Amino acid sequence: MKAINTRRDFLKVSALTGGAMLLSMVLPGYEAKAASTAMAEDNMLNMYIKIKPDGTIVLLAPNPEIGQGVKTSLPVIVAEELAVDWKKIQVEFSPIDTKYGRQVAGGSGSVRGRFAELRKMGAAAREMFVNAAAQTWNVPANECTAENGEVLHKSSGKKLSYGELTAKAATMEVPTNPTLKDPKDFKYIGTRIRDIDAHNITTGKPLFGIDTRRDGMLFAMVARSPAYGKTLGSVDDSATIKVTGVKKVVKLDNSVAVLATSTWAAKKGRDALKIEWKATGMLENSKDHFASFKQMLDKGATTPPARNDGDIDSVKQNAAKILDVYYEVPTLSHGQMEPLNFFADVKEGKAELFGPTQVPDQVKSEVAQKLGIGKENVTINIPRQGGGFGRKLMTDNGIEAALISAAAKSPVQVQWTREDDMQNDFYRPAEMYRYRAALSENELLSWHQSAVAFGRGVWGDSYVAGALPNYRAESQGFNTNTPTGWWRAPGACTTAYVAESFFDEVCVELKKRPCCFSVGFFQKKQKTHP
Amino acid sequence: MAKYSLSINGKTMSVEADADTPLLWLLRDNLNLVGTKFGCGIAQCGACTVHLNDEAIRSCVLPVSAVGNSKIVTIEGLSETGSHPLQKAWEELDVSQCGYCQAGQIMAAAALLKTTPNPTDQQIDEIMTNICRCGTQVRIRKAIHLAAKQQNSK
Repeated sequence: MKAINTRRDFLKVSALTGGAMLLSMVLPGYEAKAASTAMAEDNMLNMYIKIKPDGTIVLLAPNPEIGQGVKTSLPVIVAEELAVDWKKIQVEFSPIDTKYGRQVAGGSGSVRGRFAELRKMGAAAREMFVNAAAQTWNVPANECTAENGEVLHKSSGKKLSYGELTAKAATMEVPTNPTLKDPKDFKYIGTRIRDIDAHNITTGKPLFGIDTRRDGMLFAMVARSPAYGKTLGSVDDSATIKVTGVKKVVKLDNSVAVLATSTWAAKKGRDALKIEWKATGMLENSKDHFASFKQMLDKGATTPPARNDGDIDSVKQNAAKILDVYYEVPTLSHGQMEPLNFFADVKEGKAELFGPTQVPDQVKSEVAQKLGIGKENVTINIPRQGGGFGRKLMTDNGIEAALISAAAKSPVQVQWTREDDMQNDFYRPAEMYRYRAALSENELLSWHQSAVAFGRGVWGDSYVAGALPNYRAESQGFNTNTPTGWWRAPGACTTAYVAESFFDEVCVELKKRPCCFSVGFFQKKQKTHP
Repeated sequence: MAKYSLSINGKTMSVEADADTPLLWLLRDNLNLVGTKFGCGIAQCGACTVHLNDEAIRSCVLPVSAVGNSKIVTIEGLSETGSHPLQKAWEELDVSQCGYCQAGQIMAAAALLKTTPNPTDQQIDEIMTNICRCGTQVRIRKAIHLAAKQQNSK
């Protein structure tokens, strides 16, 4: 991340009608991780604090909340520097707009990416309140302190709340380089703060995308291809339109949506469709994947190894024992608790969207593109979300809802069943590993990792690489039409599992306790490769 | 379609629905009681748990025609203001992560405490089969113990 500069427009402030103060911060953008296109945003950052005329402070949470806690933790950062009473704070999601920067839940980047900026924003606002109070009392600002949403002048005992100071504070010059708190004075950061929605969750309040209810909204279910490699043929909806509550049937490129007055009616209507699915592409089976993987592993890679240290072949000749183990990692659906859904209302060249996504701005862009309208005509807002795990880095659920709403000319909530969700995922890729190790009586001599995975294969240089002189890693990619995507710590959740497991098997052979053996082993790695 | 008169959260509610409509969708779509969640539709995950005559049931597989005069309580009716000991314990221990399954978890736990006011870890584990994808089970167990303690000390 680039260092924050002190641009004059770092903070912009405006007095809103009714005395509310809107503080927005503009900071230079930064490069997101290039590894993910979903995260490849390089935007200006911008954030708001709202103070209502009654003094209520509303902090806007700019990033999607998928259970990782950022609807709470991001506003806490602002509250810390703003010096307010967290218990009196209200939190809302901010609008989705490029001026807010990277509004993404992914790569564990929300707090890391915004920490410095949010502190600065809170601190600047605090200084403006202090300056406003100092002017009001005609005392030097450095004699005033701010705490719990109030400015205090110690020697005179005068006190004014932020609410009372809002209108004046909004006219203060915006500090370009506000003084941040010394971390040892942190009141909230570093302490356990309860989820801001805890009460709403335990009382069953509508918080999630699935809870969206709008006037005139229809509920939709979609018949999607039963297998990758099949495309939509003929559609007979004669039984569907007889189902009570079914209002419309809409054909999309490779799916059919049924809109009805209830989720259940939509499901019954969808299930009554008679669709001919034509096999137009490669049809696959998970079992066949593993059979093919095994063949590829046994044949060996034709491309050069990703890493090849020492000489594993000659070490093998003198080994007391060779370990040779295969690991299978299956294709995996994300299985987030809240089955996918999305609300869309497309009319008169505009689209309004509301639903679960980890990449709302990307949904916005892609919906605009698919509908052939300007991005400025698409509004998207986000609810709290029942898990993400990477599934919602994909934008299909939002786009599909927009297309259905446009075709049906109706506001619609598209609801996926659990089966729909499982069968139409962007899966963690299936992988298979062959691990071979040469062992002496009491030492690990060489490590040979051979992998096959959907797509391009896996990274070769990891884990034990560098800790022993003889190491080889090779990988082969497998061509598939099964869609794949990020699934929690992508890569590590499979490669770490297999490497750790094999390491333990090595330890069993060497009659060593894995934890003790690994400590010595990796200390050696540090010494060899500091 | 048929008319049904149901007792939900202490009130009589009239709905018109197909006989096979699961109680879950009736609550969510017809009565706007959206606290009860859809998770799997086959009674496996427990997100849709409500009380039927004080027993925890999975409303996604209970057709409205089978409800009859049974008394239904949903998360919205467990207490007026979230004051049930379980709701308070859930808040105090900050059990929720994404929060999606928690209404069902609380309803399952509430039924457990009715029959077993002071459950052991083992009893909790046996009854609390609801799925939490975030992995809050450890705190759920703690919260049930806390609620039991508070309930029993009254």
